[in-house]
Amino acid sequence: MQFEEVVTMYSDKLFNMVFGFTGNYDDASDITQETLFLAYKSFGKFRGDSNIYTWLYRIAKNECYKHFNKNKTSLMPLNAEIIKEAVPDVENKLRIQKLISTLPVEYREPIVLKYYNDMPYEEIANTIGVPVGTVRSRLARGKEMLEKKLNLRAGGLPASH
Amino acid sequence: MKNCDNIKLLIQAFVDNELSSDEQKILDSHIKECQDCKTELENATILNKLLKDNIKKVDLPPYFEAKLWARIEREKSRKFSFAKLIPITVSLICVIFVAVFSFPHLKTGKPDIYIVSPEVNSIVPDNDVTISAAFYNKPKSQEAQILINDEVVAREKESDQIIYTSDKNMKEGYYKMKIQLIDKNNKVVKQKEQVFYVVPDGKDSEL
Repeated sequence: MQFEEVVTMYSDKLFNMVFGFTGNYDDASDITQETLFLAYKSFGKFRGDSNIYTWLYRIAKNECYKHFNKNKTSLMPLNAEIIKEAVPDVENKLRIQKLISTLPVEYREPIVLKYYNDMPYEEIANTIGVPVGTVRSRLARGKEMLEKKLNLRAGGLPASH
Repeated sequence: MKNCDNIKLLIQAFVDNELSSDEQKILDSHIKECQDCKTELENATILNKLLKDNIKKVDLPPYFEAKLWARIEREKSRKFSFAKLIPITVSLICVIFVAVFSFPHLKTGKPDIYIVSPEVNSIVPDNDVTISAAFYNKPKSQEAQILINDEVVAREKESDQIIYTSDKNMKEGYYKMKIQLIDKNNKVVKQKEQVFYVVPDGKDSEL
């Protein structure tokens, strides 16, 4: 496969994943650019022992960490202010995207791959590099956290929209 | 109710359509008996719908790929010039310096091409695509030509420069241009090439 094909096939998927991870369009754009640029530079060394998207995903995840370290924010904020800012009277869409980006990374990863990249559990497991059972439990735990943040259990969020 | 923690995992797998038929049976029979897990299932279904309804795919930013390729092309030329050209250039300058001082009558006299426009990897508006180049030491016997995507668009016999202006708006995209000097047998004696990216007029300033 030529690198041109990699860009055509995976830019969109990768961008959506990074967007889910960061909750910020401009950050997602910068991080995806950097990821593909680094992938280009090391494409010759890619041996094909993982699939290409898994390889890109891992570069992107590192870039997310670097980006957040540089900007002195955390990939695991659970920051009261962010949540407060995201929750009241904002469109559900923004609110939910923002909330996902506040989940701890291990729970955010499978949710992002599931909902932004439409992956089945097995593919998520291969991409992250954990057993399918772990994906199941992390997804369940991550969603439970979202339910609490959305106050769903107390019936706090309108079910429609 | 016993096993409720395990059932929670099954509930999430159920809403994600990832249950085996055996697991489905376990879930069904548990839900019949356990009100808490039934509520849990309702909540999970609502959350799943919320996520599906509210997580929409985002489009790539405008010119995302163009920017990436421009960066890659810059990297290629940087790598080439730094890794290979500097030592070669330095040695060449030394040789020429020595030669010129030792034998002032010596001239290299080899034909060369200098691309005036567009600049390397530039992004040009579609109503202003001008390709021009100047030649050094071009013998009268040689002709110059411009190729865009391997198609000859201009030829020049006499002059030491060549200019081509696109007479119609070009489609957005990457173009590879070549400037060549060719001899009487149409053999390429010297060639320079580079890429440029054409965008609709006005969009270039956004990049």
